[in-house]
Amino acid sequence: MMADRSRRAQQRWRGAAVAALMLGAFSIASCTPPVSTGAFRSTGQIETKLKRGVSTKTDVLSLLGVPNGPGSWLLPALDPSPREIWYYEDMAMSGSTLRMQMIFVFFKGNLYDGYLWTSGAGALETKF
Amino acid sequence: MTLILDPCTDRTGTKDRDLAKEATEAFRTALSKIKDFVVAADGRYRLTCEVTDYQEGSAFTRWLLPGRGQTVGKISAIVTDAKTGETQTIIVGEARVRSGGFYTIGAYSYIMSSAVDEVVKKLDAWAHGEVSAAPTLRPFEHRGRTSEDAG
Repeated sequence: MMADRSRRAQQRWRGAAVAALMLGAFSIASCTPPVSTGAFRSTGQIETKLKRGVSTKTDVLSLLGVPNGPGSWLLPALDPSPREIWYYEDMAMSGSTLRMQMIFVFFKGNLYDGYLWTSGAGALETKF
Repeated sequence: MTLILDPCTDRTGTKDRDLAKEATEAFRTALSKIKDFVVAADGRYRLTCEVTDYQEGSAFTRWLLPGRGQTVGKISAIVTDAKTGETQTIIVGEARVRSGGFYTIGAYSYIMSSAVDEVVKKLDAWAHGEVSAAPTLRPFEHRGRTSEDAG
């Protein structure tokens, strides 16, 4: 009789401990702040605000901000001199969802010459 | 080195402070302290800056929960050739108050100037050739294949 009671009490304590652990783990997981490099700005306005061969780097800076990096590219058949390219990145992780986007802005001299935007937003999810 | 200092832009959407103005003033002050930089309307290079992150934080939260309540200021700047528009360098400066107690009260008031100081320090290093200019992808030398190459 006494042994039964003691076993039940032990089981109750074990159950409570497991529940407390699970609650703690859930709290920590739900409190993890999202990590982000900062979302892109004004991307919806690229088509309307930037005009190929007309807009300048200052216009691109005003719209998209300071890029994450500059570089140059060369297609000898198109142009014998290298052209400048700006690179923007946006990465964010919230829970099991990852957002990753990149924009490449092309220039011809000081003038805007086009862009390339690739996005994995909504497509990348960690599966457990 | 003569620089045209464009007014900074605030990208954080902060309502209760004029961070753009604060950052611009901080740049003007920090640049004036370095004798090699002269801010002029007809400068050789153009400095464009923006505030990309600002978190006011809380000294009490930092004291209570280490790692939380950080005060953050982040500035991005790009230097271009004023004549050709060619990008010279991109510099990011960040200042954080991660930990500390009540002696860190008021960190929000100097976090922007700390971030700007970081940018200007890197800018000075760049101007003296201590760090390389903007990394450039070196295009490979193109050489068309001819019938002679094929032997």
